[in-house]
Amino acid sequence: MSILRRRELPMSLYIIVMVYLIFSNYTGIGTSLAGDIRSWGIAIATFAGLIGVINISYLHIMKLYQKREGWPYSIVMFICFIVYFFAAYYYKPGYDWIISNLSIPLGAAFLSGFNTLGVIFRGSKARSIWSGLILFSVTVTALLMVSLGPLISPGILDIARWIKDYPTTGVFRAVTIGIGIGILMLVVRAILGMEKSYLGEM
Amino acid sequence: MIIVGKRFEFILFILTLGLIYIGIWFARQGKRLDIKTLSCVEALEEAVGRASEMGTSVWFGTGNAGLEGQYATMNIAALSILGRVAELCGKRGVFLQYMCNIPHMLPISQDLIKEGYTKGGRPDMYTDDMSLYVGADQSALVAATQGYILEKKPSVIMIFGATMYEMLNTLAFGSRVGAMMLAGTPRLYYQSATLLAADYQLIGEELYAAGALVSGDPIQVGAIMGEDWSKLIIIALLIIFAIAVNLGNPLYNFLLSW
Repeated sequence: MSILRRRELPMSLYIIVMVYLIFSNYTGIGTSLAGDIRSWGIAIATFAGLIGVINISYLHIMKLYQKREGWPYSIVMFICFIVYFFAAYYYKPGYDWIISNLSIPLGAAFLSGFNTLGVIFRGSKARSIWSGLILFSVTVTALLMVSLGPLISPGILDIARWIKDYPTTGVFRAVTIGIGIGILMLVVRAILGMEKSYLGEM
Repeated sequence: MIIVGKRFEFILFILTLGLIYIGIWFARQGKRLDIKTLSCVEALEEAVGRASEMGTSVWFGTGNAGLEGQYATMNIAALSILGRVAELCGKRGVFLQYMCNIPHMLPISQDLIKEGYTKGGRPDMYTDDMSLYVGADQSALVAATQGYILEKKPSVIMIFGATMYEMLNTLAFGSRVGAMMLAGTPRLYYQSATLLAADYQLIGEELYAAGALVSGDPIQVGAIMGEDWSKLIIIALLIIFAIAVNLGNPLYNFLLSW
């Protein structure tokens, strides 16, 4: 098998980089290179964008070619892609207009409190005393954020502040410690070659 | 050699690594390990079975993050679960739909799903469009997910990894179509959503433990044992420091500045 196709190469790269970053963090040696390595990761991930473009184009071309269900949407997708691409590189005002008047408002519509909170409340189920407690905390804390809260009862604000300052902070710290140990477990498994999912292997 | 102020942290780091390795070593020696079970991991088979009986698909997502930066480890664990789910789908002949908005997740997920279906005995079922890239935007991922859920009505929805607000929307829309939902993320702000809306959850570091559990390899499970020992040490330290601080003892501040 070609050396480039062997799994030992990416695994070695992963382990060497990880150990170097840990070494640099604790010793302060080579911090400049460590910073550069972190940037490389983001740069390499950006290059992978081409894979996404090829995949999405292939799927929609096949959909058009085979006239599968919903094929007219593939034409819309290609038109949007081409317009967006050319605006980004050749017509800056048009690109800015798309971002300001289409992309940001549409994104905000998905992210807005009305949508996100609305859907989560509809999807929530108080199936146990714990999820019931969370629903109660969410409701009380949401009232803290709006002017309606003190109008209902001034005591609600005190309860909400107490929930935010004590149980929530305590749980956040406990969960953070647990996550830290969990990451270390994954690191050990990766160093020992047990964790291979990042290579696309089970 | 170790930077001042990081020495105690470094000792804890090495101690934790050591304990996890000892857990794995114990497992390699064939010692019996009593570890916790995760209901969410045990429910994977039941979930895929449900999809098989209902003749619908399984939807799987890892959210708006890839394998770079601080969220990498979360998604590595989530990908382990994806591989296992693909294997179960192969065994039961269920269609698995994975969606991502991070390009480099695409080839990795394709390889995992393909290997999973092959292990499950149905390599013929695998197609490249089981793994779908939906555009580089988070809103695009949310829109594509919601569209798929409303149109195809998958009976099982799984979302694991470094998920963000797309988890809320996915779970809510899954609830609308009556899907069985499994979710888990170590990201603090979204854990409450999994508890509220999902049928089975992985809270906090359970996602990392699940990554080891789904492998079915008893040696990997030894790592969880080491993780539990580390937690006991951390709890002991917390108690000692709490007492020391309340008694006015400078131990805690000394160790932090050491």
